[in-house]
Amino acid sequence: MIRYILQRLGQSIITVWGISIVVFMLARLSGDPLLLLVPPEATKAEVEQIRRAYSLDKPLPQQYLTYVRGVLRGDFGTSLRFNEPALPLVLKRLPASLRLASAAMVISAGIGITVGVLSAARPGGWVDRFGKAFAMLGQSVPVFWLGIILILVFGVRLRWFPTSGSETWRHLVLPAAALGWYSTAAMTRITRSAMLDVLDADYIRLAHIKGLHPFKVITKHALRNASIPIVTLASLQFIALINGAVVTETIFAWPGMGRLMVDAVFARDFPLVQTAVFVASILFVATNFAVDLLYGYLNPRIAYT
Amino acid sequence: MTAAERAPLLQVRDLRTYFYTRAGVVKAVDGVDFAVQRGEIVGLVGESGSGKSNVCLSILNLVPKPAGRIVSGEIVLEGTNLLGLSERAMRTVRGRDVAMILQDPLSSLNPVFTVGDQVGEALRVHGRVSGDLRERVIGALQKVHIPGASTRLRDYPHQFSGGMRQRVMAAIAISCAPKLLLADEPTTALDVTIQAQFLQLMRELREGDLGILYVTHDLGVVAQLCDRVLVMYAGQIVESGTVEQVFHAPRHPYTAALISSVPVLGAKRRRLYQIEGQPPNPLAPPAGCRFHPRCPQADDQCRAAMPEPATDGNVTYRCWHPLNGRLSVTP
Repeated sequence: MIRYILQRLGQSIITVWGISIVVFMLARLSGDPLLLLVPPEATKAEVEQIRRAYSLDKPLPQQYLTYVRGVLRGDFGTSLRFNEPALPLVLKRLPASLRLASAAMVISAGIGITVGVLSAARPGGWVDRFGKAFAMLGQSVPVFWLGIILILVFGVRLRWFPTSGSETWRHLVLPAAALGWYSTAAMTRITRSAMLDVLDADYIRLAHIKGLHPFKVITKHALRNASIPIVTLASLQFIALINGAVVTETIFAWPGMGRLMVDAVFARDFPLVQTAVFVASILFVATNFAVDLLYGYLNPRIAYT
Repeated sequence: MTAAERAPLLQVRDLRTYFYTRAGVVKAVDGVDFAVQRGEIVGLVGESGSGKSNVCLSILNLVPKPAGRIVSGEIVLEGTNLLGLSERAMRTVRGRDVAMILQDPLSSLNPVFTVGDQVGEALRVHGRVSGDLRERVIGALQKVHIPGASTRLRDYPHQFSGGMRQRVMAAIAISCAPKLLLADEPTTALDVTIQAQFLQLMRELREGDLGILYVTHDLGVVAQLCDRVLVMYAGQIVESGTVEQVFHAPRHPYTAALISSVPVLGAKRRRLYQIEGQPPNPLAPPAGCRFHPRCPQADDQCRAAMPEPATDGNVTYRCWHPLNGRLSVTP
């Protein structure tokens, strides 16, 4: 087990390192940041001076080495746009992102798994049919439209929830609903199909033969066996919700990572882009690792070697 | 002895279990009568698809819904008609009064729970725990001769061999001390030496009052294990009697054919006997006697009407032209 953890740790470091190279290169393919930084009337000499100040005149390998050396010391460079250290900028946004993603995840997993289980318990029943329609709607309605409708109905008309900001849990409801609905559909579908596979198994029949209540058969015997694809999808969605909530963050003025990252890309703010992606990739690797350990708990046949 | 004690443990009367499929109605069990006494092992033999498993599932009222339905009949266990019970009452019968062992020990145990948990589950559900649950689970595992029961209950099914897993299944079945045990081809997936050990275990479990309905397509198993045998063909019981009578002097040509198709050690080497034709299409069974298209002595009467059960005092059979104690079907 310890060997497995060390091995995974090694792999994770390599993954994060690989991502850092790719992002470093890709960021520099996006264009010259100085064109956005300097005022239009600046002379060529002035531009070159600023370029030197940010060390952007050095060859790429050297820039990369400087960057890596900095990262190893905990220095992720200074944002070109905000003129502040990049790491604190990103970390300041992280809690809000995690909060929004977690809330959206609770919604999509809560509804998705419940509806998926009920649909599988009675395929073709009204939960199945209604759930399918609900899921399809969630996947086809664009988030920006849904967000606006939610704001209109629950924010402006009914005045139940605030429409922007992130101070209280009440601020969380609308953006989490807008964000969670989309992934609910995928959760419903995967739960339904995983449950249908499992419900056919002999051990489910044996559980009925023992005299168990059907509810217990489903929640104990079936769901645990169907959990691996569900957990896999949930973890992928969680990552996507942390980084990919740009539209939702914009509509609800939510101070999350997604918007910070997109803004940084458009501003060609290399240090900030690199740092944000670095933090995101750590989250990604950590989530995957946690999920892999969870697999072993969910299915004792999985051995860690 | 009171009347209730003299009555059989299980009495099945005119059981009909149909499946309503898109292609039509499959009469999987079509008018089956039999009884199981306390302490008796009754063999139920027949080809695949003859309805053997559905008899067991009907007794537990666990025929796959919504396609499957018990259309008529009575299943009386110690004076109670199980088909009259509510689903809730039926759940207290399952696992407590009637237990079942499934065919494939590899897929019948839940892979993600420990063996101890799964053996103790029925005990917990039926509140049959007087004293320590762990002790009861260990007791059940010891009863089916699982070595090192007190430590092995923490293991998962995949850490057991096939034979041991089938013993775990048996431990689950007997954990609540049931009155009736349904064994649905429990040794089909096991190799022969393990099978012999399992049959020995069945014999031990029968000591006492446990009645066993043992489903198999292996006549050798029936000969070794059972007191009486029911021969099933296309949803009906075509012959029944004590193992000795049925094996030595079968009256139904199908039974005789089944017995003839078993290889005999030391017999002259020749082609094994095989029953001509295929089992009938369950959607459209032949009119009259269902065996007539494959029967060497079928005539117009056989094609016209299904014979009612008749008895010669020993064996009950459904045949217009019962064999005369000859173990042969070739005219």
